[in-house]
Amino acid sequence: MRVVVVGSGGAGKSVISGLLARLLARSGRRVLAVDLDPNPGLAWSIGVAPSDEGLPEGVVTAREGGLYGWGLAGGIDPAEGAERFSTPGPDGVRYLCPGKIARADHVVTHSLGAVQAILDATGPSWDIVGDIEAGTTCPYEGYTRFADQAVVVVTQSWRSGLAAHRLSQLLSDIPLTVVASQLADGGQPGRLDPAIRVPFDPAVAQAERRGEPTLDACPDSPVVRAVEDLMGLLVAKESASGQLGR
Amino acid sequence: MKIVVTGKGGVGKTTVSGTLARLLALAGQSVVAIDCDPSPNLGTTLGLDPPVVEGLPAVLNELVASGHTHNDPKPDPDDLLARFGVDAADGVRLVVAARIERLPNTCMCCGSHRTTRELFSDLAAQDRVVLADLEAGLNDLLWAHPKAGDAVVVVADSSAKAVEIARRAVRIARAMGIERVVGVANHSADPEQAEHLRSVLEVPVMAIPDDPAVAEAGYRGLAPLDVDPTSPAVRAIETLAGRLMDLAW
Repeated sequence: MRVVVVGSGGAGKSVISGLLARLLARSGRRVLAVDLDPNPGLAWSIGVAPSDEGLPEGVVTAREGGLYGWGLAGGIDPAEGAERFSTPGPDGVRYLCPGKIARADHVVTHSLGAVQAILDATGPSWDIVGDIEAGTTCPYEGYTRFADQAVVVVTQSWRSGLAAHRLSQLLSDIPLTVVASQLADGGQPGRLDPAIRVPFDPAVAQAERRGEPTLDACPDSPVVRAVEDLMGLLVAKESASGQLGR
Repeated sequence: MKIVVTGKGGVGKTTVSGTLARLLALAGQSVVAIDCDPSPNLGTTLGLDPPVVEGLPAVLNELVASGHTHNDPKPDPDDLLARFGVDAADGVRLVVAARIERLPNTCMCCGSHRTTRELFSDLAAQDRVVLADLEAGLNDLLWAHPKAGDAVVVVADSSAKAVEIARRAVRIARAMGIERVVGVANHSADPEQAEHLRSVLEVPVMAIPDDPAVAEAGYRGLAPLDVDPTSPAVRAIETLAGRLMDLAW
């Protein structure tokens, strides 16, 4: 499957992406977790050492048609990129990141174009789980084009519901799975009817405070069980679309 | 005076921005608030009705719709404010930079960020406050590019990710030559949170307590000031407003 996780800021995209990637890997799949947010986050949710560096020097070059006009340098097979430029994480997850904004003069857009080229060339032997920056800009600018499914994460707040509604319009050409996140007891997100309900768990909030992956800090959390359900739903949608000959 | 409010997504930038803008206006300032979120919603914390907020005109969208391109002369920022701004509660003038909710049929490359930068840098602030509520994360801070003399408010909650993004925001603001940087420990449940943030950011940090009135306002798309003007979070933002206006600071 090739899934992108979108939603308003702070809704729980990285926690859900990180959990999903590791649970997929535990189920025996080959998983590439792609961190497309220029702000730090997903590495901690998976449990890999965060790095600000993007792809190594010499690998990225200006390329017409690439995202922001950038792509992979000649002589580098993009189909090998998923393995070659990713770092190993827990449960066998491979983590790929085009870099982070660390300084005022930092540009991560070049590396992003190269990572998109890798994603375009990565075959069906891989599952891709992509985590993107909060809000509507990234889907609009084409970061999500690798995906054939999207998970829309929404909380109970009005603004999160509004962002989820706008994101659903932007991503209306692929199947969407709405996940309600951080739900209080009896809580309902506005606007969208969620397929999966993830409760608020103070233990997960504590783990976030320490910067620890949910799966290691609170493996028995109802949050983990909800993301297991999400995984089942995404796998079912994947096989359904396969039977339709997508 | 110009102020940008930045930080990780979901930490409460918009709540702080809207409440701060209104409290500054109530204190007698003329205030322009710029909503830089491409999914704009600052209007709610400025007291506008949610359905109104959802349909507010946005500068970039209106310019694109009227056939304006990058090659045309840059529009006068106060003219944009007059044409596309709206009056919000307590006399705050709100202007939305861009609204991204459908796939484009025209070129809007870099549009939302560029509009943010142009509005923030071109609106004069000699005799008024220009406050920008930035898009989540560090990218929009680079684009807005505040100058020495401007103030940067860096908001974080207790999560390690939010604190790290705040740390980077302060470093970036310092590299831009900005001295007036203040941290906000939002949704604060204990004094250690602000203390920790202060030790990481090495700037003055104010705590805004976790507040049921803010949560209630967030669920309903309302302004905390209209739900409970005496709530602890509103009081804390009042202190922040005082601090920002204190020229000796």
